[in-house]
Amino acid sequence: MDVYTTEDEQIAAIKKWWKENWLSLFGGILIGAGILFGWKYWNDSKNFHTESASVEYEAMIQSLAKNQLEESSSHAATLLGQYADTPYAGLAALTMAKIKADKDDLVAAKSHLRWAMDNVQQQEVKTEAQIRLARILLAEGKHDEALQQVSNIQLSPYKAVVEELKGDIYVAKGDIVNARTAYSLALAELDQSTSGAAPRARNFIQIKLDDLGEVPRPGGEAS
Amino acid sequence: MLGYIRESVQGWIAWAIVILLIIPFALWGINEYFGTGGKLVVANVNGEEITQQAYQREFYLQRDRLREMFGEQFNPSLMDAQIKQKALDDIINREVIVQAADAAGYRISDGFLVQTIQGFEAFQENGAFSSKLYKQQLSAQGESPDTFEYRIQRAVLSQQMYSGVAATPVVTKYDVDYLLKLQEQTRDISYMVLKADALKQDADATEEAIKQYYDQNSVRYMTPEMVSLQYLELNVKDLATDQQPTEEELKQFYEERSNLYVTPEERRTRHILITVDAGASEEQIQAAKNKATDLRKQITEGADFEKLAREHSNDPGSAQLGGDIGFFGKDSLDPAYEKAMYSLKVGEVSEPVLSAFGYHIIKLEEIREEKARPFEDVKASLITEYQQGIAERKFFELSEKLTNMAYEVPDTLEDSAGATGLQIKTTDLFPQTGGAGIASNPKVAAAAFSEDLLKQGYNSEPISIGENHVVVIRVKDHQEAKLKPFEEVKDAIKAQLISEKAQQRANQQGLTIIEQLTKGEATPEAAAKIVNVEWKKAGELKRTDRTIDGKIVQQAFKMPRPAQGKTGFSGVALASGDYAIVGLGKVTDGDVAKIEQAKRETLMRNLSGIRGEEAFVNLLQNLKENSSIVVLEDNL
Repeated sequence: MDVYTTEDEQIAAIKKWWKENWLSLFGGILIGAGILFGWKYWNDSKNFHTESASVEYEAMIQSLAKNQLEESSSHAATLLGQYADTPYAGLAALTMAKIKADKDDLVAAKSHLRWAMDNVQQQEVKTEAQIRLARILLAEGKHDEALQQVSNIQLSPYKAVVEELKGDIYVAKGDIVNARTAYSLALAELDQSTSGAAPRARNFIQIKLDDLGEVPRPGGEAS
Repeated sequence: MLGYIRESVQGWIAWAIVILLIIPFALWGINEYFGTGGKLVVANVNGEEITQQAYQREFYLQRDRLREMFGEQFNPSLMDAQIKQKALDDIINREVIVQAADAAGYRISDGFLVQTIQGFEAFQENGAFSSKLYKQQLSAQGESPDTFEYRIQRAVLSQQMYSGVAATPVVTKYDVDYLLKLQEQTRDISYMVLKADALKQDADATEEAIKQYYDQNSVRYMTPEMVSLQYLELNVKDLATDQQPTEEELKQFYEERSNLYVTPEERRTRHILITVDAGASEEQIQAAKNKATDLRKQITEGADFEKLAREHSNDPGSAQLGGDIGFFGKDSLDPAYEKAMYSLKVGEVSEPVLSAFGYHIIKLEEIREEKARPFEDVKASLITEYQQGIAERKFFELSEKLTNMAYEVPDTLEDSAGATGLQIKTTDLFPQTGGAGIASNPKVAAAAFSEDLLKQGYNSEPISIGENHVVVIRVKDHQEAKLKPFEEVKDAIKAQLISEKAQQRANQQGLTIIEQLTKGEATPEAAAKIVNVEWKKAGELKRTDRTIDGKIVQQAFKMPRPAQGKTGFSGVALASGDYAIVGLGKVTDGDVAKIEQAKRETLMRNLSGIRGEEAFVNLLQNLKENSSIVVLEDNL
């Protein structure tokens, strides 16, 4: 670095440096600020979009709770249409599927669940959609397809639900041995559960298991 | 150089620096630059800290909720550990859910947050949100609006995730039919019961077997740990006095409490109100006054006050009642109105009176005189109250002495008894679950088994066991849990061993008969006759039927379906020790076409509830399995 002997020389050097560099300095600051504000604007508008979806979602859930199904469906449709890029769309698909399944419109219910499986990011919501899809396939009598869906679920917290559903499918297929195993596994899982619903869930599974008969009948098969 | 900077700082460089500083503050706000620092942390969830403060808030919240639920029976010391665990679990769960919601991109707008908070009834006055009330309520809770709004925002986020899976379960018609068939299924059940008692004859248990059983099952023959207490009991009822106050004392007492015995004078008025708005002009005020004066003139000339009130009064509440506002005493109406009301005679109508509301014309209808219950009437109850007052003062004086002395001389009750003049009383031995007398109070029982009393031998603090009723206790005798002597329980064990043997015989006999029946070697009726019991036909029962022993029904519903026209046989030990042989005939599934809609809907709701709840619990569990959760036990 050069050594300046007098203050005047230093000032002269600073002025010179300034003359050469002021443009790039201000340019840099301007571009930086531009990027920051731009990013903030983009972020705000994205948030605004998601927040609007959130309000739509609340309206959907509230009308569902009041059993106003038409209204709930129309909110769900908005979410699936305008807000398909938000996480609320996945939950709207679950809601649609529920409403359709309640009306026994299994085909429509299935298509919403398949959409959720393909588009939702959150693993748990995806899994929930898959379980529900399998349940509907069972209701349609597509036992093998149902079994295939439910067998794909490996997440351990879902084991009790998955095994119960497998049991239901095996019973429908007339496979009593596998049904008995599945129901027993589901009961064993529920014994570990601290969920408030576990005792009630247990009750229903026990009824189904009991009905298969405690001991295999001599040469027995499903009735 | 420095001089140059000093000069320039006043100019454009200063501005440039300020502008540079403005940018980050404008974007992120100033609060990002100040950490909160120095807080105690109870848990760490994926790097997010849960503070001790938040945990304690949750703990107190849950404890208060339980106290509200259980009232007097609530014994916090017994449940603290459970409440702590639940508070910790809940707060961690909430953190996990909120983080997942954030990560998935859930958002709550400020507008929705405001709307949610304004919807809380606690912040509403006459059905509308009051920001004054809001601030009051929060400061009463020791919370700032910022942290409260943050908490609510998190609560809404987790609620959104909850509803998304829990409110939307799929229950198909197939599912419901499947269960209805089973729930409504009937099974044709017949049975016989082999009485264990009948098989007791010549069953015996040797001394050796009894001893062996005693040694192996000693836990069953333990007496519980017990304590007996010494205690001092201070009860306001025992301090009752029959000391008679002098007539003078009593009179003074009556004066002091006169407000309880006097109903002040009240007056019933009617009025006609001509309102004057707060910002009214001179002319408007004059116009109102003129109208009032005119109305009064009409009344003095004989017009009906009530009719005019109905037609002209601007006080909507009273106008319909002919201006009647009912009885009022002092200090409850507008001062100007009150003054006029007290200056009128009954039936008189006032000049226009200006109050904060406008001009009134007032008519006095009725005066209810001040009523005082005379001294003689209330003398008896005054004496009782006077005496109670003495007893209460004495109670507080003694209880203070008791508290101090029991604490200062903690190793004996003698000194406390001396200081208060109370007698030391004792209880019998009682276990942790409580005993007779004061030991029946759960607070006393809990204190008796506390570390301070049992191990250190201290006096307890005064324990309140009723209104103005306290005890101070200390442990007199302590008996460890111990094994009852063999001789004492020998007979009971013998009887039990004999019963067990008889039960085994019944089981054995049952299994043999079942085998015969299954092979078709005997009819059930004949087999029953041989062992001297009856083969009973219970008919077609549902699984919830309890007209016969529930175990028999349960067993029948676990049995495989027999072939057409055949009967299957099985057996089950009953709670009584007897053994039942169960015959299962025809199994008929519920007819789903005939089941009433209400039943179907109930089941549907039931299943939806279970599946929704399961969906959320599984979601939470899965999130937790994929989280790193560290609990710092030392800070709990």
